[in-house]
Amino acid sequence: MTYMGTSPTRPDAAAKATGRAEYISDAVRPGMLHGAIRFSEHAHARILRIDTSKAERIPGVRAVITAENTPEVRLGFLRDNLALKKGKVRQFRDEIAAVAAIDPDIAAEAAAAIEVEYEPLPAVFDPIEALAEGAPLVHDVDPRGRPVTSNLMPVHFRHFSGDVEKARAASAYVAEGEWSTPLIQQTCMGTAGCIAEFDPQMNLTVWAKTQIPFLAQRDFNGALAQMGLRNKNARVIVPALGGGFGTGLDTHCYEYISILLAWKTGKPVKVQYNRDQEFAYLSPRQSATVRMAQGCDRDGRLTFRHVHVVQDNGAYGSWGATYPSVMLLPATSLYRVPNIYFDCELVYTNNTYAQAMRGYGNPELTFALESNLDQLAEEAGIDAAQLRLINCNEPNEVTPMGLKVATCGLRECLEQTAERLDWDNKRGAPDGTARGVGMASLIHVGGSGRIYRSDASGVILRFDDWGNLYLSSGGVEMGQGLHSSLQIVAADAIGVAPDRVFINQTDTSTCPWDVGTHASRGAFTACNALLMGATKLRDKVFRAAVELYPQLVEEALRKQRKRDPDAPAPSFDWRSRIDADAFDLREGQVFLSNTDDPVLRVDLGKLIRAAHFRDGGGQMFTVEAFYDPPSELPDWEQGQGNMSACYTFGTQGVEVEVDTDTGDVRILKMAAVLDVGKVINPQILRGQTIGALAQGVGYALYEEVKTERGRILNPNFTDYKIPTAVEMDFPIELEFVETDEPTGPYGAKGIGEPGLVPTAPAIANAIADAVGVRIHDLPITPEKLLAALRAKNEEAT
Amino acid sequence: MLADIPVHRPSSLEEALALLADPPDGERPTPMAGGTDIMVVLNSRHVVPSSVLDLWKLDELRGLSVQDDGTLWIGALSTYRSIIASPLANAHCPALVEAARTVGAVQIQSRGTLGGNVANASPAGDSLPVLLAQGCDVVLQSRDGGRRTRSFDGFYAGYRQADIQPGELIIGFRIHALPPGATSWYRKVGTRLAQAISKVVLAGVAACGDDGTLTTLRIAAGSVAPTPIRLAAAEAAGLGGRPTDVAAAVGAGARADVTPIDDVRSNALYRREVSGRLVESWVRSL
Ligand SMILES: Cc1cc2nc3c(=O)[nH]c(=O)nc-3n(C[C@H](O)[C@H](O)[C@H](O)COP(=O)(O)OP(=O)(O)OC[C@H]3O[C@@H](n4cnc5c(N)ncnc54)[C@H](O)[C@@H]3O)c2cc1C
Repeated sequence: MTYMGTSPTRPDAAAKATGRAEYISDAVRPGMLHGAIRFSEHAHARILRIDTSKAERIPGVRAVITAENTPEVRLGFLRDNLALKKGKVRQFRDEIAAVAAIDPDIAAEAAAAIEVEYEPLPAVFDPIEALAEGAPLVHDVDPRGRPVTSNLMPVHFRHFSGDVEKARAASAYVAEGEWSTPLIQQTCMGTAGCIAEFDPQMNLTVWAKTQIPFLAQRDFNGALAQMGLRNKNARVIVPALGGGFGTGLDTHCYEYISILLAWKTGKPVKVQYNRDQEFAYLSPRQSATVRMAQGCDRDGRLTFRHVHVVQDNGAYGSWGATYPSVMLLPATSLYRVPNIYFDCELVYTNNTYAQAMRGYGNPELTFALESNLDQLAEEAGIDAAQLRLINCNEPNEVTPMGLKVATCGLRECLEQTAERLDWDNKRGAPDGTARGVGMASLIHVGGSGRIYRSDASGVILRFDDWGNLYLSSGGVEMGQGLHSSLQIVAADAIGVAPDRVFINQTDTSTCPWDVGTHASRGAFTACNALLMGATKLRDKVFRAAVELYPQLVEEALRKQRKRDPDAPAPSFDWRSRIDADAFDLREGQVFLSNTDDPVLRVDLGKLIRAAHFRDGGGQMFTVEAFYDPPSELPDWEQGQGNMSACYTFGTQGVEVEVDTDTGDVRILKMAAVLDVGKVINPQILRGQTIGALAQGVGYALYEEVKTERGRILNPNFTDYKIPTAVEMDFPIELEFVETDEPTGPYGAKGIGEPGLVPTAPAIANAIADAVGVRIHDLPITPEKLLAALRAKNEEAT
Repeated sequence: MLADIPVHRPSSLEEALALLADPPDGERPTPMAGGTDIMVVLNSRHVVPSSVLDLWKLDELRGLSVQDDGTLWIGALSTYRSIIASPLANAHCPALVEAARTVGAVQIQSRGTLGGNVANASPAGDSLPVLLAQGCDVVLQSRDGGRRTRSFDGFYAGYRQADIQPGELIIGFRIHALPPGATSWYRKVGTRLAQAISKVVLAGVAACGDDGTLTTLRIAAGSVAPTPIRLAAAEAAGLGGRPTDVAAAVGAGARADVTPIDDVRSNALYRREVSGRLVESWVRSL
């Protein structure tokens, strides 16, 4: 292996560093119009009247649309959302009308000029209140028009194994509590937007900031059908993405609105959110409340785990509503626990509707689980690292959920983290300072996550006449470095230099199907597909070589003799070795594997051209491969099934210092040890992990979309704080444990999301170690911490 | 559109004051120094001025110098960066240098000015408690009214109301000399370490006599009242006492002096408590 484990310059580096990468905000189409949306001014209200006449009269306006003058387009996996709302609004950001105009300012002015009359309705903003009897109903009918009696979403995730009540009664120690996590924004560097354009045959092209081009194609085709455009097709093209973090897992109202506007006007229409709009109108990560209890026996062996989750979903369902599918992983399978109860309630409210974000429910659940575990350790008088080691997952185990864990480096992750934090000396040390250390671990899908019937990725590989490899994958590069991984694996697996691997822009018209780049699956599935394709492609090359290699070598020998009549003959009888299995391809040269004689090395391009232009019918070198991981679609009602081909583990440790005058938390050091299977590109892995840690620090200490009766109070970077370089200015020790996962491409597991999963509980545990108070709701602000410190002091005096 | 707002670019103070006194299009232009406050307002489109008076070319309003009476002169257009870099500021008003270092981040420090911070009149302006605690006069000028000097204490009549008369510009600041043997102090508590608006911002000047009792104690705070304020009760509780004896009382005074509110950045309880604790810790350390 030449390139695995190295960091060749990533293919998108120069374009991004010089500002030449084309993001959706850069994209322009000839004759393009600009769309602007009119959003609701109420959290819950009946729409009595919409008057668009003023907007229509503004010069430069080309179309004004509402639910009245456009076909109904339904979206969401529960079909509970409409692109343009009809009759009623259910959240502040509900789309009521939209405008297409010749420039963005005119469009904005016209959208503002639309007059809407409402009749406000009683609204509900707290999921617990929303479940109470007599609470206002967010949806009073289901998508088929049947009456609905509760705000509970029709989505169920459960798991029961063993006998939790019996185990609780028999436990030597029990700890329990409630934890909650806030709404947070994904804060992608590139804000959301799209362009929709119809061709003269009424086929549609959408340039979309998406992580799921093929599911988006399906959704958009569905919209075309709803619009009465039968037998028409949507093509989805993915521009450079400035981060996805889950925001591209669903299709969005603004995309359907630009499609409707393009259809109305016959022109390409762009809808582009600026930062303020992104904060106000894009779905954040949902907030969740987790009640958790765990117990252990006298020796610290976990006896049971009881988990109840309430998730505030907001007004509509996105894929984010299925967070509990991933919550099940830590709930059932992080550390060994024989008796488990997991249940959740997903609740509609009149808050902004939420969607997926990195970690997909795992950070929420792990915050509760790992905080609660520290409490249990304290109850039991067992060191918190020790408690984790006692219950550590091991290789080749099947967890209560039925996860088949083959490789597992958790023990090493725990041990290394403790060592790097100087745990034994620092934990619990009554050193007179407000310093402390804490740790937390994670389990996450490492071999994709089957939440959909197919969990596959396709790849198409093609050599051109010069030996360049063109790779088409349905996977999406959103900054995470997928294209670099593909280059590295292609270079090693096929035998060309990484910079001869050209990766085609993701486009449903040229790339093969892929379920989407989520669940940390991009590199895992795409590189596995690539490995399958590589074998086929090499085989094709070697079969051509059997026929063409002799003549090409003869030619080379002839030329050599001409230049140097005394050149020695090849060192062995190569003719006798010609066999498809005897060939190798490295760095773009085909040769017989048992020699490095330069005359016997044939340039791949030459061989391909010879095959291509061969008398009596040439050939091409194009292959495809389709990889569907060996995993099962779980039975969600039972919480059973091996949802991933393999599992990523890791532990993070943090040392903090608390300023007891201000409640400010300073991170002094972090250690992150991840079982990644195998490192593909160390630079990208480090970047991906450090970025995740920063997001985890934001989740732990700073970030929260604040709302008041459904209205967002801080829709800007002035008041929505993410960590800057200054907050991240502490030593970070990263360590990657290589367990060489058999299902992984060259042993690698998915690592896109995991870095952020255990950061918040590690920080919360360190704070508890430092000052003896535990904050149960994120973010751990100085306000909360200082109040808790005061309460503790008052109790003491 | 922002780009449609006319901008005047005078190249002398005289010209600038004339434009303010006699606006060419009838409506008085809005002065802009570094633009780091005003551009945010313009971007939000809440306020659209009829025109903008760009002060950036007025070098007369730049520069720091020490006067014969020991006061430090800082031109209104001096940026945080120039204050940080100035040996005079470091020697004569070190708390202001500390404050300048906590403003925004490098870009804002290179563009934002002291005059802009004072004229903007936000209760959270980071330089303001320093100017209050050390003592300072504001020098203003208009074409018709000439030069006017007034104390910075009382410069704000209320929330965002600065004593700048129509047609006036702030020319600069005379910052009083620190009393002999005095130390100064600055502390900002923001929502994070960089690029953060203050939740509480404090500054102080203190000196002790030969017997170890406080002979000077001036404390000011921002973000805890509609305007930056002097902490009168805290000062009174401390003057004449030994720092360690009076620290708690000074802290209690500070808690009584402040009248903070709950907002999206923090809450009143926190602001009051932190003001008290930090002032107390500082006095204890004297
Ligand atoms: C990202 C960011 C971070 C920031 N962080 C901080 C921070 O940490 N702490 C802080 O205190 N502030 C902060 N600010 C606010 C701002 O940078 C400061 O208040 C700065 O001092 C303003 O100076 P300026 O020259 O840019 O003012 P401008 O925006 O040019 O002007 C501000 C106001 O003052 C008036 N004005 C300016 N000069 C004069 C003059 N000479 N005479 C009369 N009126 C005048 C203008 O008309 C305007 O009303 C931040 C701003 C941004 C955008």
